[in-house]
Amino acid sequence: MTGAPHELHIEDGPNGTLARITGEIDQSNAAVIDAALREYGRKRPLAVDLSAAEYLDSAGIAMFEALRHDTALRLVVAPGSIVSRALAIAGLDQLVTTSQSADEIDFT
Amino acid sequence: MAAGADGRGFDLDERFRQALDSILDLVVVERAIRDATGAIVDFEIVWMNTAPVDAAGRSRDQLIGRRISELYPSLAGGELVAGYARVVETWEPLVVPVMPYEDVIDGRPVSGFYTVQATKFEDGVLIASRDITQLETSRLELEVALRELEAAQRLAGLGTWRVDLATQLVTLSGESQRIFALAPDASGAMSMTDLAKMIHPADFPGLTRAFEQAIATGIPAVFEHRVIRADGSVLHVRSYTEPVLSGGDVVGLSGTTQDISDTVASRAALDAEHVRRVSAEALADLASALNGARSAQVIIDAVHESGNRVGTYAAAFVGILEPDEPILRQYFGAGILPREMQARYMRTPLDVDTYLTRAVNTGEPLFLLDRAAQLREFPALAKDIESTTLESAAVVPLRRASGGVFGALAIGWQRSHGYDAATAAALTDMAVVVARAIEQLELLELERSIARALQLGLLALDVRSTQAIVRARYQSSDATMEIGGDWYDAVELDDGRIAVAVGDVVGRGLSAATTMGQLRAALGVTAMQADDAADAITILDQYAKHVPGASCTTVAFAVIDPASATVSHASAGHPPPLLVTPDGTVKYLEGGRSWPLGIDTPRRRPPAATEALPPGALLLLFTDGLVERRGESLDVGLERLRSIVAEHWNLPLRRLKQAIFRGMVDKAELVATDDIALVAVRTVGASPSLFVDIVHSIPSEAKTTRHRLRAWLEGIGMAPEPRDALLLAVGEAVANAIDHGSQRDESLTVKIEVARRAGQIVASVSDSGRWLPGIGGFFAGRGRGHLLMQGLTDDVGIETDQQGTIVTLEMSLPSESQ
Repeated sequence: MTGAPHELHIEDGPNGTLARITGEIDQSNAAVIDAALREYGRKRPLAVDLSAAEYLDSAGIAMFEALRHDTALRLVVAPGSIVSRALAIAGLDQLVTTSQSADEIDFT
Repeated sequence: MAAGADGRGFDLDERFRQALDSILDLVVVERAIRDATGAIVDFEIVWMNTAPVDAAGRSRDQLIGRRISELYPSLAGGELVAGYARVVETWEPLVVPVMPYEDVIDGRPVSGFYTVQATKFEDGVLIASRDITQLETSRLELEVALRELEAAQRLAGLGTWRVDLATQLVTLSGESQRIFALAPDASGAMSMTDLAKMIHPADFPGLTRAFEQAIATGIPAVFEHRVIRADGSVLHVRSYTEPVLSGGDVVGLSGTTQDISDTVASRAALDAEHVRRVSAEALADLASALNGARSAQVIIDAVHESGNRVGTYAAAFVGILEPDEPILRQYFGAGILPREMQARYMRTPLDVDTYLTRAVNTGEPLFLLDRAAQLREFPALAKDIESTTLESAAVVPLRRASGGVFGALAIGWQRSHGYDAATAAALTDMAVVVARAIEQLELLELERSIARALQLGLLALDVRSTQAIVRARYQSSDATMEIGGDWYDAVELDDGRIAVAVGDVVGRGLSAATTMGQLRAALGVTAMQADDAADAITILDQYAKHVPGASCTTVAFAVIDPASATVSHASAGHPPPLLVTPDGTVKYLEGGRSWPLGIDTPRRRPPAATEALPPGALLLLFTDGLVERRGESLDVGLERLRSIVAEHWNLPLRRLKQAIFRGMVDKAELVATDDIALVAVRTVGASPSLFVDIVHSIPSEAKTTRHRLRAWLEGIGMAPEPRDALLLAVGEAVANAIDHGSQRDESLTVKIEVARRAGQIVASVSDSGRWLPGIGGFFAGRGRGHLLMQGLTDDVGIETDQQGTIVTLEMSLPSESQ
């Protein structure tokens, strides 16, 4: 069984980690992504950049909802994108600090 | 099926014999006996059902194999045998409503009245006869009683009188003067005040009220009262009065007074006579009214009505034991019992002592002659007894033909009543008629429920092909709600082809459902072995010739081959399938047609016809109930269907079926009188107006279909924003279907249909599960999925049917993104 196509890029700074996810997040790869993000976010602040993600379904949203309890999580989403709409409908944008651009986050 | 040993050469199969055995009437099959010239001279009994013994008390073992002329000497060479002969020769059924029969059998005189029906059966007749001796005797006695009553009325001396309200004077006829024992007077007039003194003081207020009511309403009144005659003696009379009108005003009263002393003296005897006449009439009424009664309520209404016609019953109610609990279910005829009381006694436990439960528990009739008797027998019911105007009641147990008590019948009167053996017997007769009617009803109910279970069981579809979506709908006739003989089936063959059939067996009810089941199973097996559709029909036809009731069955059969994108089809007397290609072209498949099954003919059926079936095409098979309407040519119905399908063809199948039934059936002027079966098959594929995909219930398949859908949406030029929203909404529905609809069975499938309509996208995702939103915490895990579907589209519909659960999403499109 293969998961949905996605790529995970990690930028480590002195004050936190910026994880950039491209492609799709759904039930088939949410667990894999979750495991990776937990590893980076265990001890340091974590920002996940979803501005280049094409697809985020309820399984992905549930993953971030659980992750926010265990990490210092921030999300980056492109305004007007389907990912931003999905987070808004699910109400996660009210619970997690959300930025419109990765430039706003400075972990250096 | 071979003819039974006691069929004597006639084709009487086991099921036919069992059916006849369950009939209460005497059913006899007789073979014609012909002389050397071929003329029918006699009949021989070849078979009869286990019902009653014959007129002379002989059982079937003594009758089968013997001739009519030796069994019933008075019939030999007579009109009835001639009538049977005509039935054999002309095929015209014979009905003799009342046949008097007198004979001497084994030295004993035999007589009675029978209703006889004869229909042609092979080279002989099938005769159903019913003993109506009792009914016929009652009817004859009733006629005599009515004639006697008329004579009595002619002889009865009625005194007439007239009141002038202006002068307050009463003018009395000679007969009236005799009743009041007045001295003969030339004028015959006396003052109202003087006459009033001659009315018994106890009856005076009632008489005054009756007369005042007549004056006020203009409606005649009858009142029974006593008269204190001039000589001091007391006389019982019945006075009848009606107002005299002049210019719309009541100016006087005229009427009659009749001496009924003798009548009152013999009231008890009269009551018995009255009841006897009433019940003879009621029995005759009931026999016809209960014929084909469809519910217990209809039965008790008929009982009440049969008494009401002669102004007798104030209440009639019946209680029937529930099949599996000690509760008496009660039905009330329209009567004087308050509705609130009826509601309280609707389901009465047997350990609560009421009129009906007592009769059921003891198995004995119960006569409550007056109010005092009611209170004495049922002190606990005092409150209810006093709240009604029922003076007397009779309750008789209802017994099964086998003897067991299964209910009770109660009749109530508004006056006290005398009872004797004749009354009791009359009520018992009525109870027998009612008991038989209720038993018939139970049989009918049982048959209906078996037929329904059989049909629903047979109509479940389980097609797991990833090449085509198959959806079906069966609807019983609106008129009767009775199951008919329509069926459908779809089978995936080993090589990936899909066989689809729709058929229509003649008839309704259990027998049609049974035949339907046999043919359906046979066709399912045949489909796997036949070379093509026509071959399958030919094989099925050979089988149908051996299945009772299968004659004239119609079938449409199609074999869809996704690999070659073709459909091979054949039809045996069935309406043609309807094909829609992905460019929206709609046409009926007229080829491959021949005659219905089970018909003897040397002709060979034509070969199957083949049509192109491009990916994303739609094929509809249906029974005539969908298109045939009374008083309308079949072409009109076919054209109506064609135009509805042309408008809605690319809608998801569930919506398409709804549109078809809305346009074809759910209209006041198009109510279906026949049952309807409809099967829709849609092959997988994408065209500019429709995307159809099927994936197995495996989590990784969600992205597979999503990628195909994305490519299609990009291909039709949908703007990115609505496209991504639709992809996510459909994606959620698919993920949900895999999670909850798969039942952890990866061979099950999830079907995706996305239709591009004017200004709108309609998408549907269906699975084989029975989940429902909100039930059993289903959305606990995927609550956000549902939220997303609702947030991203204009409408989310979730429906569950026999085949599974369907999520339908609607999204309107701004005009530029189309």
